[in-house]
Amino acid sequence: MNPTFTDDELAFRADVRAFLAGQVDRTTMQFFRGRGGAARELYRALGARGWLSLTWPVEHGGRALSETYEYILWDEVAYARAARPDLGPGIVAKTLIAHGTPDQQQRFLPGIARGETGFSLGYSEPDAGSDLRSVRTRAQNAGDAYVVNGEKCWTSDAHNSTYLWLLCRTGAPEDADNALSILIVDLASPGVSINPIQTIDGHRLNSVFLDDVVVPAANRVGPEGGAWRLIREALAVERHLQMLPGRVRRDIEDLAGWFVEQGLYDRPDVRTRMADLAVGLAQVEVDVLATLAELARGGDAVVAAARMKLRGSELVQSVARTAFDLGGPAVATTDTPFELLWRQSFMETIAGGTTEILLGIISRQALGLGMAS
Amino acid sequence: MTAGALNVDLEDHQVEFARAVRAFCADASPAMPSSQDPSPQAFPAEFWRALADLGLFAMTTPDGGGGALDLVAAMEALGGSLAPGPLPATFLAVACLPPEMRDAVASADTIATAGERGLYPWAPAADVFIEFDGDDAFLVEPTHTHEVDTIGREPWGRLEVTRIRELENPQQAIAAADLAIAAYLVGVAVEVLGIAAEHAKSRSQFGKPIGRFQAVAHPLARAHCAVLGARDLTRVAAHNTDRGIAAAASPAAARLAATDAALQAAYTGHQVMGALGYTEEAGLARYSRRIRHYASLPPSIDRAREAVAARLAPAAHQHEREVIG
Repeated sequence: MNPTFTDDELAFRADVRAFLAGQVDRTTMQFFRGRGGAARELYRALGARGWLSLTWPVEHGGRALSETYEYILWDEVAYARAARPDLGPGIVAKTLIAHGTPDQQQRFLPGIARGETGFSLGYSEPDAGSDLRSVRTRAQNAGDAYVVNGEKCWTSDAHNSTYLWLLCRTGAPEDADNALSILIVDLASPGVSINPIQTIDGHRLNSVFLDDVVVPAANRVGPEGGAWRLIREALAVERHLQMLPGRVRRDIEDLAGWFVEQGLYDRPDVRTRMADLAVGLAQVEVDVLATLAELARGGDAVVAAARMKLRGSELVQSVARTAFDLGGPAVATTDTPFELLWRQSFMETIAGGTTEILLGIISRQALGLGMAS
Repeated sequence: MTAGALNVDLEDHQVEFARAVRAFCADASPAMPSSQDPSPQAFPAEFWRALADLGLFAMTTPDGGGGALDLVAAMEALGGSLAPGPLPATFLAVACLPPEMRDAVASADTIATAGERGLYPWAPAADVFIEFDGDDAFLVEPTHTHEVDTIGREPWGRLEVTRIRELENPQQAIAAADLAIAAYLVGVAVEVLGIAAEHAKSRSQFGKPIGRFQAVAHPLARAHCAVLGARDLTRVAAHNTDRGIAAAASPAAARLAATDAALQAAYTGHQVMGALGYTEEAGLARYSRRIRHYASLPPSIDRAREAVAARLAPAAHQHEREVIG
């Protein structure tokens, strides 16, 4: 039993906090506003410190540190409500390091490490959400280039990004396993159009339409038809960031602080519900230790991370619900953050693996309940 | 794994000790009386003495060589075995009685009970009585005892008492009881989930195992998350207790989490087992009754809830974030 970070890790956490204290206005809610604007500025500042490439191998400009460092960074950034993890340094960079060509590594990694190059993920489609193997966006091999046609949706931050990390079909529709490929699409290419989808938290997702978009074959990552393995591996490299306890803690502390300010914290019903939230928080914080521990010993942490995400995502919904249940009409006003949290937190049990997908994973892998039809 | 690597597992010697306790209980632990038996469980004197001989009750004494995490490892095993007896009260008593009385309890020469508001588990067999009142603990003497059966088939006493003296370290005693109850509940709940998952794999309806239906599998998966989360939280809380670290992962939080998780496992287990779970024969009821029973043990869980709520309030204004781990 050693549920403690090393002195070096704690020193890094202190560095991150000190840095954020100078960067971030605590009243900002940029965490909920996407990866452009102030978030991109923050990524650049993190990149300037070498903090976007902490776990990358030294030969690719990284520091070869453990996932725990990445977790500490993004967890503190989440606690400060400053931004969500940038997608480029994680899924994209780690896949390029493992499977990219030297040319791709040279072209993309330095900009990602500096926090300048933004990537968005082009996975979901109107008819392919949790079931990604049924994507229809088609890339026709035309020798030294692909011609891409299709539609992606729910694409976070496409409007803030330079590139789209595109999952598309290069093989036959009936070939589920070997027909999908990953392409890096320059979002400034002719034929790309990005349309906003307004969301209930005042933010936006996007539809990305691809109409005869020409993508150089040199932008295909991994072998043609080899996307499925890459996608699975890419999910694995992000497990320690799947749910950041810092965000949960901040939500709960904000609510507790508001109840105290309003003179409501002494009410027995408030204390009971806040105790429930605090216990949930303690659980999420231990869940992340279990996840990091499993990763540290070389495990895949699939179930541990699913547990953490399941609990954390439902807990942030409980925070907002508790505010409304007990806080009276004031919670309905925009003077408190809780109406925003109520609207926003619906996304948490959907994005990055729906609750139902997670429960399926746990049913199969932890309980051995075969779900195959 | 290097010695310094992050982990939330029991130490090897704790795993070994838990295994030994489990093996011993498999042979020696008296079974819970069936729901048809009119009398509650008799005090298992021989079994209790043997547990003491294993060193179980002495390990958290100053010379015992063990700590809260050892207690938790053992209680998980005892819960998984549905071991009877005043287990939480014994660890509680060892944490707050004066040395001579403490050693007698640890060696099973005397039997301790801890209660509040007149209710004392295993009081008919007890020699040492500890009363909790608010945050204070007292050594008391019964002046009148009325035996009462319980949902967990353990005999309790409804007592009238007179106070003899106030006891020191009531907070440490409460922490020991919270951890003991949490770990025992985790141990029982893990068994319930195992029984229910096995049933979901072997029972077929509509041409396939019922575990293939999401309506059956997902509640089990949720209960699994709750129980394993509570297990890890309880272990981390014990580690923090051993090192004098005040953290969100506290014995009180562990008790609240484990109680909720075990009750969730009980409800889910019964639903998955269908009518079979309702029968005496299937055995599930013994586990669920014990869960409900331990969830209600004194010192009351309300105290744990209040401790957790009180702790959150000051943290809320600081934004000087406390460190996990």
